[in-house]
Amino acid sequence: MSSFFELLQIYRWSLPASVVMAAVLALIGGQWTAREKSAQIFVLGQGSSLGIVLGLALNILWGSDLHGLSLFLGLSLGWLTLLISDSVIEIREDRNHTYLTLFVFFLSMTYLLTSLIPSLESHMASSYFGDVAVMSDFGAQACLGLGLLFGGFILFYWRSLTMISFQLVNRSGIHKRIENRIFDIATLLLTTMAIQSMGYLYTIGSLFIGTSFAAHRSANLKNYTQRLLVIALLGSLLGFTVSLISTALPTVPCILLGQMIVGGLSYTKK
Amino acid sequence: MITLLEVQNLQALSSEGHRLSPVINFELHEGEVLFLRGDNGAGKSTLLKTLLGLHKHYEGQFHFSIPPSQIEYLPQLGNLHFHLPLTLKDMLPTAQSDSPLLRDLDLNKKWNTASGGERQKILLASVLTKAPRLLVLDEPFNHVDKDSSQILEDALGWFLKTHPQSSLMLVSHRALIQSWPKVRFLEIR
Repeated sequence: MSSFFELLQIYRWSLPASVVMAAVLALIGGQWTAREKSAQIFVLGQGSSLGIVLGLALNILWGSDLHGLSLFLGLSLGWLTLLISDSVIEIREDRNHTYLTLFVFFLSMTYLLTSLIPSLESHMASSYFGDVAVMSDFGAQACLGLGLLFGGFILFYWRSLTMISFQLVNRSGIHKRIENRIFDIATLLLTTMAIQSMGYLYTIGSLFIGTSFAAHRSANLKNYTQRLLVIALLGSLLGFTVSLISTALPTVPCILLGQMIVGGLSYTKK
Repeated sequence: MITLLEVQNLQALSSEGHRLSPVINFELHEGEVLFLRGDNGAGKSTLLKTLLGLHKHYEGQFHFSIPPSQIEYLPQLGNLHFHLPLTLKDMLPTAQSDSPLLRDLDLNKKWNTASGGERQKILLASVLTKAPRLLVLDEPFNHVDKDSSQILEDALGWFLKTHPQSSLMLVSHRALIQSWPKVRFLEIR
């Protein structure tokens, strides 16, 4: 038992960061799914991933160690992806296959970069599948701080953001709202930071698992929000703990499976 | 009398430049009701969307003398399924059990299982609480039964009576049952 608490001491930042980030990503994913834009966010994640890998490649080529470069390029390519998808793809009726084409393009470019610079292979694997346990303290603190900040903001404006989502999908949104602009920025920033620190799999999983379970059988918006947060928080905590106890099991699959198990269990309670 | 909207030689176009509506000219003053009438496909809804900034391709000019925050819009009610499990109560900005639109409504019913009439009543109740200077409605009586249509029309009539500075612009195939003051018709053909 004492060794378990020693492990907790080692992961004193990464554990709360991954749990809080999972909850905030779940809130973000709920709204984007309601806006029928899950494919857009899926591609945004891949665009950010390419930017992060590009930053790593430049650091290797230049022999530098600029951590901010990957984040900057990840944010830039993520923003560019949002811009292209909002101005060109979203106005088309047949947009899903266009998103898949863009996804394949980003994936191909990432693979190409990795082939050209073989030392990137291990970085590529961690960028995709991630390992929350090896997250740096600084990365975890940044994720925790910004996650709490934007999580508080999103919860405070949750109802307003939900009605904006309704108007967007109903094509009746005629007012530009500042909270929605901040929500877009939070999506870009937190998605990129989560991919950089915890990997693409963790990020995409946390965005969509919670809402996939909570949207069904919830009586109203409040009940849905509670279920969403329980699935993300409790599921991530469960998965991370199992991973720590076993030592052989990787963190990210355990966290995502934990969310799915809690999601499934939430159906047993009305 | 204050002019809320001035439209000059407005014509909606497709992104390729094809004409989607005839050229229209009109002014809308406060307290007026403007009824846009015409056959299906004449371009009535597209003109409304153009004025509201939801359709970007057009020729001509228009000018609102009121800020966008004082305009509210309800689009045509399609068979919208919303991912989040909103109840009718969740759709209301504040608890307002006194609105005649909400009478006999089960506010705990989910949006996704509500009827056309229930949906339209809740959306209209929601926008009326904001007391807009200009309310734009696109086919508000579609997918709504006869009794509910009457309730919606009564609510609109009551709103115009209690808010004499507000105006209404609507597209509808249904003739009004009530006689509202200051109703004008604009034929789109």
